[in-house]
Amino acid sequence: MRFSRVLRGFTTLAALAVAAGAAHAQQPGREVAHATPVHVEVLIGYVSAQPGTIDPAAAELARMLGREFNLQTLRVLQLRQLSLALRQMGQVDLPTGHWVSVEPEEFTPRGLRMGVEVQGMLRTHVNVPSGNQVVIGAYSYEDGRLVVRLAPTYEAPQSLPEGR
Amino acid sequence: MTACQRFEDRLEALHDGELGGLARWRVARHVARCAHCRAEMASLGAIASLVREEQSDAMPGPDLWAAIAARLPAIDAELGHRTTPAARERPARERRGWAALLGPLPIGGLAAATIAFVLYLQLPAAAPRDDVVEELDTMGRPVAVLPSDDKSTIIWVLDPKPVASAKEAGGAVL
Repeated sequence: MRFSRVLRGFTTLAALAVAAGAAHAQQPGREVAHATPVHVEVLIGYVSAQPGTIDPAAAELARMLGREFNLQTLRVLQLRQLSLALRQMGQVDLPTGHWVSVEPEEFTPRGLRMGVEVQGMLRTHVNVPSGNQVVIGAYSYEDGRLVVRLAPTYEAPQSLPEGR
Repeated sequence: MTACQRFEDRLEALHDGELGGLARWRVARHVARCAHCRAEMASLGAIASLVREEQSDAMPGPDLWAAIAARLPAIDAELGHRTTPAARERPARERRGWAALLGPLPIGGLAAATIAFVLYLQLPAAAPRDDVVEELDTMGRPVAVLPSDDKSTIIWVLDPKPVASAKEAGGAVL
């Protein structure tokens, strides 16, 4: 009888704890900024000034680079969609054996601050608004170069830290 | 003669601080009201600051010069529309300061050449060039940061192993 009462008490307490936890988690807007994933499209491409074809999947990138360089070949080697939380690092391998890593760090008025590294070549922090892109000219590859395009899309939080 | 034509040849004097008193006030007032002349003043300011930043001890390799040369026509064409026909037709002897050094080239050409030159001289870890790139460590490699358009920024790290000479690549260096 006494054991049964104690058991009932524990069961009630456990149920209350579960209910409280669920209510806490459902508070609207709580930690939305950190829980919402950031989508970063990572395109690894090969560009060359040698005559060749432009991959239709990267025609816009070719047009943009073509304004800066005499680019006649662009081939998409890899296209990855990374869904990352803040402070979560994503990594994509390059055909040279190196890797590219990207880590969304925080939302700033200038865009999403990301840490980017091309192994053995480049470390940078960039602020990229949603829908914008950063294109990195990386290692020599075949008779051209590798390019890495990073394009984040995200829903910016309502309030952003001042002075960044 | 439009107001711009009257003031255009005095912009450099204003920029260089050679005007005083009423003349300075009149030209400055026109610049404040005229987008074209403001753009010209901005070009003059950009050239001056870029030259101050120039790293004279760093000599670019031939591939860098080729890259600069390859870019010039496009950049010049892009900037050329900002120079009025009157300015383009002005005889060299009437030009002062930077324009006199240029000869027949439009001021946009000098701006483009200087910008391209300085960009390619960013050795090795370049300072951030705009709002997008906050820190940049290229581990000793030269790099150019090119804000390409409103939505794109190019970070072009120059690989020490050249891909192709300018000749092989038909005048272009990637």
